[in-house]
Amino acid sequence: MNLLLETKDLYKDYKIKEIIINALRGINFKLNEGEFTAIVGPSGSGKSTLLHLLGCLDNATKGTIIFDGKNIDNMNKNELALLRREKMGFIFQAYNLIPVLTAIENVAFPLTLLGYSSSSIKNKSSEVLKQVGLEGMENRKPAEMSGGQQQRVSIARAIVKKPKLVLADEPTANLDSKTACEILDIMKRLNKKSNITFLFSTHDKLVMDYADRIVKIRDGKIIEENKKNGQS
Amino acid sequence: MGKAKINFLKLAYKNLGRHKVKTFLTITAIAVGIALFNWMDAWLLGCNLESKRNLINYETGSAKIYAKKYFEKKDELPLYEAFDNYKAIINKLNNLGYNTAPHAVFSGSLISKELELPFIFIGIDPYLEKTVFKYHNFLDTDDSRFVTNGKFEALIGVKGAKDLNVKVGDYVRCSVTIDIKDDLGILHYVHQLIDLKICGIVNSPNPKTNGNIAYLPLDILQGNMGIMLNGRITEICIRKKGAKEHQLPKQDESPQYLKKILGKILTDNLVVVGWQEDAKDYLAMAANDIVSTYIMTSLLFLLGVIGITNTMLMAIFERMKEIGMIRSLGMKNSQVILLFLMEAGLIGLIGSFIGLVIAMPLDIWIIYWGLDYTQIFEKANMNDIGYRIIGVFRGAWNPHTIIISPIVATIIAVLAALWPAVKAVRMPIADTLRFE
Repeated sequence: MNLLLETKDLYKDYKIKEIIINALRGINFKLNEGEFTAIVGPSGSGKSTLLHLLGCLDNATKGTIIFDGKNIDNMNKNELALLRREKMGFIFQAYNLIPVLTAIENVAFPLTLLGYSSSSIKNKSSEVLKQVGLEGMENRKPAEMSGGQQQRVSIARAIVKKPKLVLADEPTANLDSKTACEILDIMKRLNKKSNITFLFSTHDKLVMDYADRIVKIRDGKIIEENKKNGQS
Repeated sequence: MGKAKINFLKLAYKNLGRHKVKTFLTITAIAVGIALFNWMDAWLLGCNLESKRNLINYETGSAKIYAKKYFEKKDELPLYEAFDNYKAIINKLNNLGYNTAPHAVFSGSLISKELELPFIFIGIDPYLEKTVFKYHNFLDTDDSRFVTNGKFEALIGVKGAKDLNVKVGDYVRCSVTIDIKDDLGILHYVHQLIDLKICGIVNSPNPKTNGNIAYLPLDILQGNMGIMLNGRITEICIRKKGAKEHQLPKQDESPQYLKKILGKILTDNLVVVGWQEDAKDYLAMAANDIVSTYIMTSLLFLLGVIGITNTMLMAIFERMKEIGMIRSLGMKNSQVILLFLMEAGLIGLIGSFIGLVIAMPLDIWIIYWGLDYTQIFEKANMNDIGYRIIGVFRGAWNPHTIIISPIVATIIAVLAALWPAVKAVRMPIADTLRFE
């Protein structure tokens, strides 16, 4: 499998008033294409911070991130925006859908940024909504959908442009177990079928059960890595 | 506009529905501002236009010729700076297609059986006066008539007549102190009393002609029974022959043009003054009125601007996570700013459009019906409020303002949203996603 993402000696410090908090302390991490990986750890361990750095949503204090063969440290804000636009998808714990748009319009949003034609946007968005089991719900607004349905829309929005990497920050935290299983099933299916790489941050045992690889993080450091076949 | 921008515009439009009450109030503030601004502007424009026409048609003509020294101290009405040999100028202007009216203006008091009031007296040539000015068409009573050469009579303003409690046929006495400069340049003051019969009362659309003003035949003022002018006058009023009453003077009535065509006949001691300069005190007052009115209506705009900034700030704080999300999806900071500016621009545009819709019936009312101040003036015993209009104050269409005001309001609305929009994208994306 090809290497998609690599971090070298990654540090992130936050300054809150006069206190410096070391959120990440030298993370060295590799992610191959097609992986279904979970970063797990307790609250405050640094998993969300790591996910934000990997998704080019924040700047590292020190260290290097290489994504798809390119060092993102050298990129400006616009280049990073284009990188996210073309190659990354995001799934958030709170879904973060645009409430005034319908399901299909929310899914279509990344495609409009990419400049697809109207017909292509419509076809792709409908197709991907079908894949996440929301056929017939295209014209519903987020307020008219359950949490699970909203997260499905969020997944559809993340994968509609066929990104190289989907980053999911606690994607099942707001869902009941049954719905969480359904959501994870969908993501797993997309991972296998479309070879989309998924990287989660979670402390949900259920997500860990679905993950092929688990990276444990504590106090800003990777303390353990497990693969499904039992390798450490 | 690109496809993405059209989609942003659609999204911006949909976002307007999020804070319905706040958006409604902001749009209302802009609409009221635009409506009042347009209405006020139309009204002021109409009043000013009508005032200018009335100034020209009843008071100044399009230009005047004065003695330079007289003009320098015009407010004192210095009779001793009057000039003679004016008939050659009148003849030349007549040949060139201009009507003229010679005036001898002086101040004094008019005494009735009951009262003595300060008055302005204007010696006129009855025939020539009618070719330049129009107040002869507005004699107040059926028994009123215009002054006649050679007769010791006066035509006085309706308010002056009322204050003096006199009517047509009554006798009044003009009391004036004449200042005469002798050959050595020494001023001598001669007190003169002139008995006059009131031949008519003026009630024209220009309140200045209706106040404490008396028009007398110029010829009776020339000799020792008058004010010893000895062939002199203080000003020549000019208007082009065939000039339309409702039109303001054009270039061929400008002082520069008149000076040029008069040539050497206009001696160095004389000066041609345009109506704007002659009435500059009034025009300055009118301009001040306009500025202060615009400042007041601009305060309404300010309310709208504060409303937009507030609406946008609320939108940003409420949508902080969403802003983080759209930026994480690859929306550039400039595009996020554009989205918010579009929202504000739409608020400005909708508010402006509604404002114009409200302004149209208001404008039609003020232009075709106007505000009637007649009773207020009568009750307050006022002759005027500065404008050269009596009774009904009407407006005039101002296409310039109708087109420009919504554009300016929309631009202001967009600018009002700039700061909150920039603020929204300055925060790192990760922080906006964590924002509570």
